[in-house]
Formats: sequence, C-alpha cells, structure tokens
Amino acid sequence: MSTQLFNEGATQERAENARLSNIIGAIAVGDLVKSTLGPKGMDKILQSSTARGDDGLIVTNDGATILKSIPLDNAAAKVLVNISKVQDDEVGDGTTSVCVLAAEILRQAEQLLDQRIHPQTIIDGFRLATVSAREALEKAAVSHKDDENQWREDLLSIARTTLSSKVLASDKDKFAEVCVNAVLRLKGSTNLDRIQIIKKTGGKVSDSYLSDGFILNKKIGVNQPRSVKGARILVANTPMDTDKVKVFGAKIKVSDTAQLAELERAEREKMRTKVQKIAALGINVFVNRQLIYNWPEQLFADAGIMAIEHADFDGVERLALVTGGEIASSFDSPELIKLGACDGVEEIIIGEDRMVKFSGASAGEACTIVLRGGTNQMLDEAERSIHDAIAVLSQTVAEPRIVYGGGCSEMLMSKVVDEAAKLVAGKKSIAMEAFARALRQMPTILADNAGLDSADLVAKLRAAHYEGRSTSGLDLFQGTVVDVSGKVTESFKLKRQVLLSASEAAEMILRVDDIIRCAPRQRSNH
Amino acid sequence: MASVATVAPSKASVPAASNSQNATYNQKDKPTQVRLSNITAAKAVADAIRTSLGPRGMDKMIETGKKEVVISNDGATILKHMSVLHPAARMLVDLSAAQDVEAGDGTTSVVVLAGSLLVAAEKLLKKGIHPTQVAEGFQHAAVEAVKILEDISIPINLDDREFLLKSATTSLSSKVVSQYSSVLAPIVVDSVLRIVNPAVDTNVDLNDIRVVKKIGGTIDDTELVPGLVLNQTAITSAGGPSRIEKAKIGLIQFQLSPPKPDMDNQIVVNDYRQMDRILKEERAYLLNLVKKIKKAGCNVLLIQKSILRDAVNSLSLHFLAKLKIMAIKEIERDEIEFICKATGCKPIADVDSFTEDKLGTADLVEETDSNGSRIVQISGIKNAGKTASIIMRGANQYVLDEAERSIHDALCVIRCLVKKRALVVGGGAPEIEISQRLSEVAKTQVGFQAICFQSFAEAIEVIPTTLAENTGLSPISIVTELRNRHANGEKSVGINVRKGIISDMLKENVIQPLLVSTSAIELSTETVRMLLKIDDILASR
Repeated sequence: MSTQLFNEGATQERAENARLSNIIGAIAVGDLVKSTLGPKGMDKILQSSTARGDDGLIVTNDGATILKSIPLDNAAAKVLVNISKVQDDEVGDGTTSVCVLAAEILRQAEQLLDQRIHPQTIIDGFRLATVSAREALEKAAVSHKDDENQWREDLLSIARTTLSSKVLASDKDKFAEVCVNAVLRLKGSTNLDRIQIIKKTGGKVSDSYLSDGFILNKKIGVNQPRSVKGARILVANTPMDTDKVKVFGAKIKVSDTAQLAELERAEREKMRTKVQKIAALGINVFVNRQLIYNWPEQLFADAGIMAIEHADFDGVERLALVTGGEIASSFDSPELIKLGACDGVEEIIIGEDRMVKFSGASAGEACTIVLRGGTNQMLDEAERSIHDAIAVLSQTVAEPRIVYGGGCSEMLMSKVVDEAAKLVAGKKSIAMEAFARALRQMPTILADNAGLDSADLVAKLRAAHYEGRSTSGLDLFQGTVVDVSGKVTESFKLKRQVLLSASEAAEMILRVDDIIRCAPRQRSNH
Repeated sequence: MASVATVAPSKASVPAASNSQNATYNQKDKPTQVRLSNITAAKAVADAIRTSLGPRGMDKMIETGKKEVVISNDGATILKHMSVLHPAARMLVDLSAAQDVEAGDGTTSVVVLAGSLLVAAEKLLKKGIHPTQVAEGFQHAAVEAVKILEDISIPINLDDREFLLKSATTSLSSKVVSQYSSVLAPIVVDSVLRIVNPAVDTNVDLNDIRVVKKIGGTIDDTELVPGLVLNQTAITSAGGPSRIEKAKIGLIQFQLSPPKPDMDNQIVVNDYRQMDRILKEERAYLLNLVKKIKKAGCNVLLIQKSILRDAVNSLSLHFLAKLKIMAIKEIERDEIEFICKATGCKPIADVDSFTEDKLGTADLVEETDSNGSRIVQISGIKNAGKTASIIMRGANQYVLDEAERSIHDALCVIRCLVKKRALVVGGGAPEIEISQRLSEVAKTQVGFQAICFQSFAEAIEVIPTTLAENTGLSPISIVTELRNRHANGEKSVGINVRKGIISDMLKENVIQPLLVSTSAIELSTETVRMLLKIDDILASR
C-alpha cells in the first residue's frame, strides 16, 4: 500500500530503473549522432513538423544542430544535448564527439553496474581516468606558434581536419585557406562578429571566396553616387519619414486646408533640417536601420551623399563595429557622434543581386566570406561548417597547442589510462579500464563510419601505440594505420573540452538514482 | 527493461571481431533504407519532368493551390509549382532553381542528369561501395567532365552576332514559342547587346531589360522598343493629352492631392461659408502645385504610387489637362530606378525642388493603342542610359507567361556567353563526347574511382537518350550510332531533332553556351553527392 506523495500525473522512477532509463536515453542519443562522426560520416535530414517549405528542411552533419532540432523526452538525453550546445559555444566544433564519448562512457558504466559495482566507485575510477587522460593529452600537445610557417601550416591542417568531416570536404583546401586567412585577420580576437558570411544560391561551392571588408545586402538610393572613396560613414537608427509626436492619440485640429498645407510643409522642413544636420557632419555615406523615404533620399542625393536604407539591426551593428563608428539616433550634438570610416564603398554584383561593399574598414579585421552553392540546404550547411572551422581556429590562435586527430589522441589517452589502472588497487581500476575502452570506441566509430574493418584497424592502432609510435592514427581514406603528425591536426582545447565535458556529463548521469517527473501543466483551451 | 540491459552490453562488448561486425551490419540497415528512399523520391521528380527535355519535349499543365493554371516546358517553373513533400525531392527542386539563377537555361537537363546519376549511384551502392566513395568518385568525374567540355568548346567573340543568334535560337527551340524563334532571337540578342559593353563587361544585369506583357495580337508582334515602355496608361479622364512631342519628363514622388501630414488631423468646420473656403483653398493649393510643374517646363508627368494618399484627384487632373501636361500614375517604387536610368530624369520628392535639370527629354511620348491594349511609349530619349524594353504580345495569358519565361531563358543564355565566352554544340553531342572520354580515363585508373568514372560516363548519356526518346526515335540505335561516330572523331555530331536523324550540330546551328553545360554537370553532381551522404531523416521541431 503506497501513499500518494506527488500530484496526480507525476511519476517517479527509482534506483536501478532510473539509472537504466538514463543510460539508455543517453546511449540512444549517442547512437543517433555517431554516424556523422569523422571524414566519412553521414549527414542527416531534419524535417520540421511545423515550418513548411525550405525553412523546414535542414541537411546537416553538425551534432549540435541535429541535437538542437530534435524533440527529446528523456532527462539524460537532454543533458547530452546540453553539453553539445556548451561545446558549440565554447569551442565551436567537436559537438558530435562530446556526445558520442559521453554515451560510450555510459555504455561501459552500464556493464560495470551489471557487475554490481557501486556507481560512486565507478565515478571515482572515471575521475582518476580523466585526470590521467588529461595529463597524457597535455603532454602530447605541441605548439608551433614561434615558427610562423609551421604555425600557419598547423592552422591550415586544423581547418582541413574540421572541414573534412563536413559538406565542404571536396574543397577543403580552398576553404581551409579562406578560414585561416579570415581568422588571422582577427589578430587574436575571438569576436567572430567581424567575420561575416553571406550566402547566395547559384554558382558552385568552389566559387566562394573571401572578400576583405564588409558586404551589406542592400541597395544604394536612386541617383546617388555608386562608389565613394575615402568614405566617412554615419551609421544611424532614426526615422526618416517624419519625426512624429509619440503621444498616443496626438491630433491636430485645423480649420482650413491652407493650415494643413502649412503643416505638411513644416513636416518637410523638419526633415530637411534633419538631413542638413546629418550632412553637416561631413559624411558621404549614410546608413540607416529604418527606411529612408523619397524626400530625404532626394535631399541626400542632392548633397551627394550615398544613403542606404533599411539595413537591419544586424547590419547596422556589424557595420558600426567594423567601421569603428557608433550608431547614432539624434544629431543635435555633433561632437558626441562617432563616425565610421573606410577606404571605399562601392556597389558590387553577387549572383543576380546588387550589394554594397565597404572595403578597407578602419577596424582592419573585418572580412566577409561569400558562399555560393547549388541549394539552400547546401549553403546553410556550408555556413555551419565554416562557422565551426572559424570558431576552432580562433580558439587555437588563443591557445596555440595542438594534438593529432584520426583517433591518435584517443588511443594515446586510452593507453595511458590503461597503464595507470594497473597501479590502482581495488575496483576503481576496473572502472578505469572501462574508461579506456570507451576512449578506444572513438577510433572504432571512425573506422565503422568509413566502412572499414574497425576491429582489425583499432587493434593495429593500439599495437602501434604500445610499440611507442605515439603519433599513429587512422587514415580513413586508405584504411591503414599511419603517422598522422602534421596531417590530421586538432586543437588541444577542443580535445580537452571533449574529454572533460563528456566525463563530467557521464558522471552526472551516473549519480542520478531517482527521476521525478512532474505532471505537465494542464492547458484549458485544448 | 531487463532484456535491453542484457542486449546492450553484448552489442558493445570488447571488439571481439565477429560480434561487433554483426552489430555494425545491423546498424547499417536503416541508413540503406533511408538512402534508397531518398534516391527513389529524387528519381521520381526527375522522371516527372523528363519528357519536357528538348525541342520535341512536352509541356506540363499544373493547377496551383490557388486554382491557377500554369502551362510550362521550363523545368524550373514546373518544379517550382509542383508541391513536392519529400525532403530529397525538394532538393532537386532547389537544384533546378539554382541552375535557373546561375545559367537560366538547362533547368530540365540538370534535374534529369541528377536523376540519372542517382540511378548509377544506387547500382554502385548495391555493389557494396561506400556512399562517400561514390560521392568522391562522382566529384572527380565531374571535374574531369568539365575539363573535357572546356576542351571541346568553341571560343566566341561577342561581336559575332550570328553565333549569338544561333544560341538564342537553340534555347528558344525547345519552348512553346519555338516557331517564333526567328522573331524572338534577334530581339533577345539586340536587347542584351544594347546594355553591355562587349569589351569590358563580364556580367549582364538583366534588371536593365524590361519586359512588358500585353494580351492581344500574336507573339509575332513582339518587339524591341528603342526607349522606354510603360505598362501604365496616360490618364485621359479629364481630357489630358495622350501624345506629346518634344517631351520633358518629370518623375515625381509627391502627390497632386490635398495635403495630408503624417500627424492625425481633423479639419473643424464651423459653418457653411468655411466649407466653401476650404474648397477654394484646396483648389488654390493644387493649382499652385501644377503651375510650378508647368513653370519648370515639364509636359509629361510620371507619378509614383502612394499607399497613404491619392496620387491625383479629379481637380488636379483637370488642371494638368488644361496646361497640356500628360499624366501617368501608379509608377511603382521599384520601377523608379529603371525609369531614371532609361530616361535620364531624376526623381523629385518635393514640389520646391522641381527644377528643369531634373527632367528627362524625349522626342515623343505617345500612348499607342494596338491589338486592343494600350501602352505608353517614350521614344527618342536624349542621354538615355543602357536599358532595353521589350513589348511582348500573345493571344492569352498562358502563352504570354510561357513566352516571357522563354525570353528570360534566352536572355540568360546570352548572359552566359557574356560571362564565359565559349560555346558547345547541342543535341546531345557534348554528352556523348564526355561519356566516351571519361570511359577512356576510367580505364587508366584503379579501384573504386575507376568504377565511379565508368558509371558517371554511362549516366551522362541520359541526355541524348532522353532527347531521342522525346523525339520519338529509337534511343538505342541513336545513342549507339552517336557513340560510333564520336569514336570515329566526329565530335560535333548530335541528334537532329527536327529531321529525326543524326547530323553535324555545328552545321545545323544547334549551339549553346558552355556555362549552361558546365554548371548543369557541376550542380547536379553537387546535389547527388549531398543526397548520398544522408543516412537518416529525423523529425525536428
């Protein structure tokens, strides 16, 4: 006879059940995304149930995007989604790896639980394993920041590794170049807002290019100069129709048409003074977030000022950032207005559309990557890939150490953990061995995805590492074990983050022994 | 629960060879299903429009969701209107749209080609080749194919009008309007040549070519107009003129109607006399506006549409008519730029800035009435910019719409030639040539790549095959004969669809821009690669 403790509809899962449902949920998520891992990983179509048309269709290889989009109803699965999101924010790439590693660790933990080992003991073992894995990783990490050529070569290699698992794999050399150039322009800053990505359907992916400066997808007003050299730019967010009295219901009573005409004239005069004030700042390019109506447009044209209307919040903010100006909305005190500047502003055509290019901006870091491609899905996915690559590169510039990919680092860590386990007495060592096995699953999955005989390859790889060739990794194109140093490079920060987040998440899920699910809130209307 | 707990560990147990391979094999089942379903869906789309390929291709009639009927032969248009649900099929629709943007023509071929490549890929997958390997093989084959195309292409000079005419004719010949290609081709070529400078330009902004559609007459009556044509008509309700010689054209963005400030306002009328005064003032206000316009010497007035107030009212029209000013209203804001460029006038947003230097001058502005529809034609423009206007005529809306699409395609063909100045022959000849040379390349390679090259080479023969099928010829005998003659070095031999025989395409003047063919191969391969890499379809929010 049980007492009802919870509200109606709330459920509780306990001990073994809770743990199992968590582990199974997490493993299911891991299995879902693991086929996207590596250079031979597959893509997934995400078909939205709500949005119609092209908005509802995403083709992607990016773990974070997949996990973000699918609705899940399992607490542990949500934890994995969360760590993948955090990985995306922190490093930008490795979103799939972190999920898969966490799932593999849990898969191993499940077996240990079957052997009646207490979860806390497992956790202790995992912690020891994580510490030694991390040390091994740190020891293996190298930095070439002092040698400029080697450093650039490293960055290119990292970009190629990241891109090789994405849709841009066939043009990875080109895009690696593009990404590295873009990131090096940032000069160490990790503010990726300065790298703008413009997508235009048409053309082929290899038609994409890196353009210095900032491109605004807007048109220049009628009869205004099409190109300006030595531009002084005012970025504004101000109404350019009429300055209205913003009191609700403000109304004017007049007694005849002449007064009305006068009123209209007054409105126009007000706008003329506004334009004059703006022109008096000595600018030759005016960019407004809001619409510029015919009358001010003509005034700007008369003053020889290039005026661009309706540039969106995103547009004006980026433009202010790259030209070094500030967004202005009142023009009464000119000394407070900070103008932006750049060498040239001109109209260009990309595909069938005209756009405005700001080149040689005073904040020289700015650049734009123009992406071309056959379909919208292609472009979106390409944008995600580029974003990942740029994020990783910018993190690498900040933390220059690198490690080797292709399953090399994982195998290295696995070996060290295995060796450390031998020195630990008690059940913890079993957990550490399990952790090492989970790490070895990563190269296994890579090989599986490439359609290779994973059991054979991973055993060979392990042997290579025990023989002391600690830079051995998998060549997934040839299906052999090779020395990957200088070929498959990954950011140290990324790998470390994957290791730490995955083991933390696994630990968190293991600790749970009780799931209480509250009743969903009742909705009255349906 | 218990059963899962026992199954899962066995699946993940230490890489004992047989066990783990079994597990991976089972896991590979679903991705294969998904891939096959994608390929099937995409193939269905390709098959649906296959019969539209070529000069003897058939049209499709589509009833849209709004119960409008669209009849078209243009791949991009058909696919755009088909409400396709399957995500993979939608990617083919996008593919066709991308070809439309890039080359403007070959929108059917690109989808048919993608369909054929998918069939080839399916066969390769069944042989057990990994999808990424197929994708890679196709990618390399496509690069090779483009090289072959560039090799057999004929460089041209934009001064060579003959060649341009021939390519426009080839594009038009597969459309509804094919019998009028002798009329339309010169129009297309001349309109593009008007707006580009052959020596320097590498792109054409087709926005500078304006197509005005009017029902009435036949497509024969379509003409390229020197100057500008407006869809809008002159307002003659108040007796205003509809023909002005030595015109001075003003384009205004303000309205000739009683004032209306942006603030909410209310005119309070206290008695009868005041009402009279208001009317009088309104009259005076409008008269003042019109007089200022007249003073600047303007005699043709184009008025931009406004959603806030009337562009003109009967009173202002009356004044305009009295002062012999022709008025045309309802000019859209996005037309302004074109009109400015064409007539050399500048938009005027306020009556006080209405000065003579903002006006454009033309010899004649005339409203003409032909075949039951009226248009305004501005001719003899001084300082005209580089624009062109085409008046299209046709018996009904469907013919007109389809003719417009055909003209657009033909314009794009010429644009392709401006972008990339080289030609290839049509009639399936380049495809056969690619197929043969790729097979040769395949023989020099080893491994998966060789098989992929061979499959790619066979897949690309779908274009001549379909062309022959649609013409009612035996595809097998035609394609084999083509292969034979290409092998003997007759590189420009293709299917002569009109006569139903095989002949030298260069002599038959069947030519098309290189860009159309290269972009078709590149885009379709790209899409196929993307489709092959997909292994799962998930429902997202």
